[in-house]
Amino acid sequence: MANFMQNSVVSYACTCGLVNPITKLFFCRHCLKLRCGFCVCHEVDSHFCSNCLENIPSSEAKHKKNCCTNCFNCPCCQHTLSARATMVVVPKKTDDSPKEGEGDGVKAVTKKMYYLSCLGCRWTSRDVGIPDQNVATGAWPENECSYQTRFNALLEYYQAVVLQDKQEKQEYLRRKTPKAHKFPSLTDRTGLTVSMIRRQIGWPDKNTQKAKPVNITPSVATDELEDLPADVFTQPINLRNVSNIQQRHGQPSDQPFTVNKLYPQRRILWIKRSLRCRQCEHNVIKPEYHPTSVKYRIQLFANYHVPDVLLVRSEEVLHAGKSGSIILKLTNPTMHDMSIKIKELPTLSEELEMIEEFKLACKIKENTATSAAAESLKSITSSPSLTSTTLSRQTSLIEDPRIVQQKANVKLNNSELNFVLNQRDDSTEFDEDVQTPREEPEFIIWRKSNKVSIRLPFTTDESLKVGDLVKVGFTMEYTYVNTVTNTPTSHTLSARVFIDAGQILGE
Amino acid sequence: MPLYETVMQEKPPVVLDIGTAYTKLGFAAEAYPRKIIPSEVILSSDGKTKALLDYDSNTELYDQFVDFLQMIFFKHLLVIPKERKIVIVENVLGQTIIRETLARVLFRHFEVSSIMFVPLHMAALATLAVPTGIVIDMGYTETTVMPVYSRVQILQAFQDQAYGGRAIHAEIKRQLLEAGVNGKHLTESILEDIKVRTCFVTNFERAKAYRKGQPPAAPPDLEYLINGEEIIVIPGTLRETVFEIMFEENNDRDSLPHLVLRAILSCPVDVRRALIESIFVVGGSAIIMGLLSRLRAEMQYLAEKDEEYKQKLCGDIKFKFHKTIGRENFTAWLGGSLCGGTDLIQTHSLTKEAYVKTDRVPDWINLSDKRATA
Amino acid sequence: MSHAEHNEIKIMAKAIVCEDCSLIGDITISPGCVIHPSATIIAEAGPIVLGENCIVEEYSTIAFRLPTDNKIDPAVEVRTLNIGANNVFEVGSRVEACHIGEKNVFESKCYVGPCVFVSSGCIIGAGVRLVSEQKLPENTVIYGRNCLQREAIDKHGSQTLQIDFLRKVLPNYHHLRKPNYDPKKMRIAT
Repeated sequence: MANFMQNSVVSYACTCGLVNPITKLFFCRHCLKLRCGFCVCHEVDSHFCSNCLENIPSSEAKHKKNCCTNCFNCPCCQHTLSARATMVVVPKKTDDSPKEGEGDGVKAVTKKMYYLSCLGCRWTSRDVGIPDQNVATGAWPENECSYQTRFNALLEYYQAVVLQDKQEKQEYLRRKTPKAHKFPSLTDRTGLTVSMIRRQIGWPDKNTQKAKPVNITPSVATDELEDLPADVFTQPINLRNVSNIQQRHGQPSDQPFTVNKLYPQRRILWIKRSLRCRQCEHNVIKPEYHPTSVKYRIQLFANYHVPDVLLVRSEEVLHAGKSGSIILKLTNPTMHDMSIKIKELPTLSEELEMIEEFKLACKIKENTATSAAAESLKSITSSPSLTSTTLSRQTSLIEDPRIVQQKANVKLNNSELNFVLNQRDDSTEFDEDVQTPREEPEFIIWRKSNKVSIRLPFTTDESLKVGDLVKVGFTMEYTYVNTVTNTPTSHTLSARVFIDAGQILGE
Repeated sequence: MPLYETVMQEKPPVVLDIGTAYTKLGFAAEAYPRKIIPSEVILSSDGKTKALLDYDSNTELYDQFVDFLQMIFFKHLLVIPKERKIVIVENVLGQTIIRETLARVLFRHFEVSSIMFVPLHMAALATLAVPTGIVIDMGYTETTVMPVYSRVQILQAFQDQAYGGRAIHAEIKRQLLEAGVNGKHLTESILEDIKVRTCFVTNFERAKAYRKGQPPAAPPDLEYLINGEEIIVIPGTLRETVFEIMFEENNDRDSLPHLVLRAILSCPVDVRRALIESIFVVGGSAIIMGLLSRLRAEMQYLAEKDEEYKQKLCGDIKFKFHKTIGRENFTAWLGGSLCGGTDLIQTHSLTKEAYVKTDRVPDWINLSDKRATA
Repeated sequence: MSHAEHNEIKIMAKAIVCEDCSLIGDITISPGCVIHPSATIIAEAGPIVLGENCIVEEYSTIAFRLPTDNKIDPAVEVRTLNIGANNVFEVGSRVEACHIGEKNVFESKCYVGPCVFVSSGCIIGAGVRLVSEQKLPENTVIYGRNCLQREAIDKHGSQTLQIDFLRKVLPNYHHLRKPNYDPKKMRIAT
């Protein structure tokens, strides 16, 4: 079984040409093709805070700049800050006049106050002079960007400039090009009538609504620059007070040089991703919304659909140009019997052909989709501009599949191995009766419920040197019953499998 | 409602400034980047960390861009890149392959709806709201100087030299090794930390004394702890002199002040004075303490004393500098954010449809593209 | 135990010393200390005096090692390692520092080498390895993989609550070593 953490010796070639262990692959039930993280479309499904595990709607997340409102990171070591409570003695003001005696007027009352503290580097919010708060969350001061007003002014200025430019251009075009309307409008031909009507009603003239240029004070250059402070040459610096580059970048707006200007940073949210097949736009992975749930609503992992190949052992010591064999165990994860055919990998030209076919299939699909969309649109509206914009949304560029980089360096001895892999049936484990042995081909060593062990003989390439890794590769054709359609249909699918069989040994 | 608000309502464009050392990323019309992250990728193939722009083949660069942008979109910005508008702040004279690959990744892999390329120097100048200025961008691999007059880049006066963060790091390493420090600890991140936290650009008088071989009393040495394993002493002279590689006097006359002056002199006579009085230094390496005043002092000195410059720059010369809003390292990003916040994003972007037709990015240097627009 | 004769363990009243800890050499444990089971204190190069209210947690090691060449210079007087009051040695810490002041915290799995001079109020973070020769100024906090340093401005809280708790709980589950040393009585005896 392939592991999540360890490198797997068995890997499958994805449709896009990348090689991955089966645990990293997905299977699109609609295209009936393998997909990997590279060739699916990633989408943000939901936002949540990894510390307080609160689900945050995406509109709110956008508003909060993708940060959690309650959780903070340490500006010093980027660890999560925790709120600490302390009892503070505060003098309580009494309502009645406190003139009679000093002791009566001011009563000391203990109050719960909170401050933020880092358990990693013992940084506290008191270090930078943030006063303790009387609520644990929500009241922490926000450090504002010092030049925000200047930035807003600049933005407004440029927006106005661009708008003005655009209007001028439009005006110019309007004057330059003769009216191209098929049906001449009597009122709007010169614009004169409209303005006359407007004036009659007493509305302001339309033309005055032109964007007014916004004035901005340009930056003033100066030749009076800050010189180095004189003490830089004589005073030793205390490195512990100078912030390092991570700390500076943690606070991008001001990037303080000294540690006493580091403020608690709002914790960035995490996301749950849903994955979508690029070809048919169906989801292959869709997680559940709740942050604490690790389950999926849609989970089309490849090892629920594709026979799992496991290397049991390599039978013989491997030498270059000699024959060897490996024992594989195949498991059928589906509820239907599979007939399996193991054969040689496609040659390079065959592979190129496959890629071409794939591209062509995409193109046909694309064309039918766009033309269908165009047809439907044309029937609804006759406006050509609308059609073109909607059509343009359809244009999608799909990455070309690549040629598989992984190459096998053995030749299979048998041109084909055919056998049947029984369906998965969880109840057979409890069955008492032993299966009657069937007539089996000789390469099958062992069989039990949905699992089969086979011996795969091969001859290694002559060119291999001592220490080289022997890569066994084969195409595995398997029948897959598609249950998505109303009537289950059977398909013959294929997967390219690569196995590390071990190193070539010396004589 | 003004037009631009309809643009901005739902999906603000993503603004990226991908540098050799650090990448600045965020959304348009925001006053500072959301994140500044090292331009490094953790490869999905073997889990190793690698510099983004370090590649052997085209496919490798493509895959690295995919991994890097995947991280940006889903870990830092948390947005769906599909059908989103992107603003890229780019070096006008950057490599075509990087530009093309980036566009291909964004259009083909992430299916973005449009990309707007913003020239770095123009973007930086936009943050000042002045039409004219000489923009000096001090990055990691190189320092570039681009004069801009009335919002037009004077390309023939463009200057660049290969000193930036990387050269400084190499210099720190050289000086430390000379001082007998064990080289095995001196990783790039340690060198960067030393540069950022201890070094500064000395003033002109002291630099002159160093050049004459009569070094003044050095600033105090510093004990620096590396990973708890070793304490090295950073000599005071190192702290003071590593940035001198940018001001070194030699016969090539390619130090930073010469570079700026040369750029000014390559411009038409009429615009020189305007440029002299509007100098703008941006980029991560420009943050260092004392750089501006040193540059000013040195340029002033050259303009008064150097024969060549004295002849060509007559009259009362006063070099004037602009101050950045925010830190220098994301000024160009800020310009991109301003651009992305306007309607330019609608009119001046390279749309997916246009890209599908040609399958390449129009470039100012390519004559056929110019013909198309004209 | 063969070296039991050399062991000269002085446990003062009110100190909680579990039976299962290994104490080797000349060790004085002041009142109020809590030594958990499986803790190790090795006084190899000279006596160790553990100050008041120190907590030594499980699997932690405090060692006063001989110099690397394993020889005691007879000319040099045997030095005593005086560990100040209110120190905490957390689970799995290994401390061989040449001086330990007061109110330090050695977090889990940290290692402090023999050339380190730890003053007072310092916090050595979890997993930190300090090898090089250095003097930690007061209130230093060392944290993270790269041993980043910072100066604590706020004094960290005292451990009195924890000590009180341990003093209540530990005797319920562990055999304790009896206090065997009373400075007052010794004074009378001499």
